[in-house]
Amino acid sequence: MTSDRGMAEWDAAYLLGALTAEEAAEYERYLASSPRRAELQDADDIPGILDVLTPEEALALIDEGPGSEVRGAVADQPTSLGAAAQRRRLRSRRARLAGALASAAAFLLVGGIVGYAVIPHEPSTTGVSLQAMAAGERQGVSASLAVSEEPWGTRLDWQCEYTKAWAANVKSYDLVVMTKDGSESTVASWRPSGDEATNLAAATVIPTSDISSVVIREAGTATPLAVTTLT
Amino acid sequence: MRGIHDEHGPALNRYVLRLTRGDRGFAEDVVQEALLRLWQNKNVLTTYSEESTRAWLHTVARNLVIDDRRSSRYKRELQTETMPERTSPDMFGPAVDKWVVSEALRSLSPEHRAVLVRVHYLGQTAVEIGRHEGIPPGTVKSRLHYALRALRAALEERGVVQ
Repeated sequence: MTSDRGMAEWDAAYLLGALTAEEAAEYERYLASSPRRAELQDADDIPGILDVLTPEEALALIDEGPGSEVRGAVADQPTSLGAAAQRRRLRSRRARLAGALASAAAFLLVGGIVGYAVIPHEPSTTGVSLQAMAAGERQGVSASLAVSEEPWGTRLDWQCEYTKAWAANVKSYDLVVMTKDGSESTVASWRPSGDEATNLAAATVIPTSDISSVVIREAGTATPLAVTTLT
Repeated sequence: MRGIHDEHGPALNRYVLRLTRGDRGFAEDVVQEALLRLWQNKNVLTTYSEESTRAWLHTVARNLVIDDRRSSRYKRELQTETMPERTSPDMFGPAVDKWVVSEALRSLSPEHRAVLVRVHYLGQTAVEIGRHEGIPPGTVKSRLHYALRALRAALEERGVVQ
């Protein structure tokens, strides 16, 4: 039998859908019988906000250390999420409070949409928008990449952080383009210096439509450290 | 295909069902399409880790849901004269929003960040995470409880929620 104190801490697991069906039913019984208010009634918009990131981008954050640098130029921009929050504040809070206790399950169903529909977007400051690369087979490099089609071929922009000690100490890295016919071309190489490398760019004559994936590897090895697959 | 379905289907279904606001029929279509794309994509199956494979699969499903939402919204726009809270063209990309949410997640402890990402984006349950991390499921739930509070505070700090 789970203690009430323990059950009180199930709220986030319930809201985010981490409980089994049996546990969710147990939690709902607890909610119905508990005189205490549900504590997460103001968190119902968080799942929708989290959905701004793709699962691949979110997974790339797991192995990063805390307190990553803050890039000041972007920090000062008014964000559209901020504007969305402003609009949400204008809505009746009473409606949400009532919903929280009467039908906490509804949180799971309403959360997913909020972050998207109301976000007007700012253009990125660099002109290209880097997307997080998926983690490869060995953890240690967290990277973001933009693949841009050009009349002369393909432009690649990327940055990476070395999230494990070994990754900052390898001799050099390669950026490898895999084409749909199965061949590989190393289009760039660089040496780690410090914890990260930013503003890296490369050009290749390979047309973007021929590229199946882009991979970061330690030079001389076949183990993918970060991967972007093009569809 | 059956193996892929058994391994990734339940978590994907939970994730998509939330994105589609409980539309089971549509969610099933999205799940089947995403699983089919994974099955056809040998590159992902052979070079990605299990977690990256699942993240790729969920990203594909998310994009399918968003594509559908955009096309149905477009249809509605044709039928109405006024369009409140009109969004800007998609070509700008949600770079700043992504950055703010990424920074909020980065500000959490690695343990808090990991449980939130595994539950919300990979569709893992507390029991699965507990098994993966070698900790009791109750600890996972408790960790989620504090992680969500920390995230809410981080989003508040950044003016995203009040």
